[in-house]
Amino acid sequence: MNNILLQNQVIINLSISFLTLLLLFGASIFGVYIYKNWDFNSTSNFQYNLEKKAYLIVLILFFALVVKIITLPYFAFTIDSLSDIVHGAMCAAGVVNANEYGYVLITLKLFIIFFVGSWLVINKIDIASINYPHIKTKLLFAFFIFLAVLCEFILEILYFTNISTETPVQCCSVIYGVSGNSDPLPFGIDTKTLLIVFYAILILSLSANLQKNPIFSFVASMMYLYFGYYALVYFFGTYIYQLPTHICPFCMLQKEYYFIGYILWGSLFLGTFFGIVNLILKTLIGQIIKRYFFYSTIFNTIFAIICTLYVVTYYIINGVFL
Amino acid sequence: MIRLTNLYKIYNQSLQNEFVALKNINLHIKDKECVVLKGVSGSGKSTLLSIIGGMNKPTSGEALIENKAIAKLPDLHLSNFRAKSIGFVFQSFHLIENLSVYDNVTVPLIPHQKDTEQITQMVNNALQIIKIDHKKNDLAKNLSGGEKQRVAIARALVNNPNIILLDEPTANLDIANSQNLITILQDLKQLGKTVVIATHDTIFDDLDFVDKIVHIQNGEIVE
Repeated sequence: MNNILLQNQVIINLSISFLTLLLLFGASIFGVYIYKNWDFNSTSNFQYNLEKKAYLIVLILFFALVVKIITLPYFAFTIDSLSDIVHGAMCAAGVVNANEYGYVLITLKLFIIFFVGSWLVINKIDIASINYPHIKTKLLFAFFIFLAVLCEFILEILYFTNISTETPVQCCSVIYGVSGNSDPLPFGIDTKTLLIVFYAILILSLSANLQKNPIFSFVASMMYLYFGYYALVYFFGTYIYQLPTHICPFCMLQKEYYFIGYILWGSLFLGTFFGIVNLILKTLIGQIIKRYFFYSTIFNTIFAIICTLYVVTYYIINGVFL
Repeated sequence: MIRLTNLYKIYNQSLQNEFVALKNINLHIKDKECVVLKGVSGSGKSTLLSIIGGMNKPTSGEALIENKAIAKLPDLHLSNFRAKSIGFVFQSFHLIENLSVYDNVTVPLIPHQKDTEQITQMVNNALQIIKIDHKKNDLAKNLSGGEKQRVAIARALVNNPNIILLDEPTANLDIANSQNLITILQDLKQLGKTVVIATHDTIFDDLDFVDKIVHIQNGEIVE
């Protein structure tokens, strides 16, 4: 058997993924049944039973989806810990790059988290109302999430079963470095331009959130996520590692860097989520939650401040930039 | 206003021990009315009372209390509604024996996050209406049956609900205390409360302030 599948973290990850998939499967099937038969105005025995079932189904969905959120950082921790047994890997970058499924899986996980977050918000609005106004939307949305989680589970199996512990892999310095085969920066821009764009988009996103415009905020947040990723990996990351040649999105998750990666990626993803969720809410249920614009502002600002502080601190201590 | 339409309650539905507790109940109780639900043990009157009180849901049919379809309310809203609009006096009182009278009456106010001064005022007011304020520092376990009954009514009143429901209120009382209870019920009616009493006691048969007596037999309202 593949050594990878015998690792405790992998077993835990796959077990949790399987159990949450099972819960989502059961809940989604019943959810579709409830969706088809729901008639809130009816006072029949059938409808009352449906309401009882809906309560349980929504509770199961809530539990399973919260577990999905909690297991995302654990997945990051797992792939990072696998670097000990994968040849050539010094951090999660090498492990993710061990086969063609790694990056697809991470990207899908990220999208699923955004969907899950949106579902939880819709659920919160729905259960706070007296007549379950969004129950059909959230059950249908849950079914869609279930399909995405099913794809994620298949990808996870393919990913973990195709990691070789014998074939050496390329790690961060090669993947992201100047000798790497990936495009270093988007649109062929240089680091200086990237920084200007990053701070400009930060201002754009803050202004979008201030205007409380869901479309504007969605676009600005997605741009902030995109350029924030590149700025963190290709510029700010080098100040975290204090080495201009060390370019990696994953090493900062390690103990040596005080797990700062969890805070940085967490704030970037949360800022993005709160920036985009209002457009999703407006599209699905026709309402927005204005305070989420404020949350987006807070998390985006935290991300930018921590990143900038690394650069400023380095300059104060060493008197030069990298 | 309480309006029940085509109400059914079936316990253990579709099981071998299925029991139909309420059958096609149609009942309208106006605001400030005092209504007695009369029937022998097992006739369904307590089930009916618990549905009106939002502690039980019907199997089918509509229960409209103060213009709210309470059987349809999600749990959170139902709890809030119950806390604000319904006062329930249980047959066996359900007081917390090791707490004082004052503390027992305070319990329904805890979720409302009122300040201490407001709580003191509301509790003292309820205790005065029921005329049990002289016992407010006594432990519940040291009270007589009649006094416990009064505390239970004060606790039901403390939130100033519009509807007071009493389940077999005289079951644990002697005749003297039952007469006292009737005086209290009369006071409640004068305060403008809608009072619904589920009982099998004949003491409620000829009372001036009772607007309607509803006879329940085998889960059905009988004329």
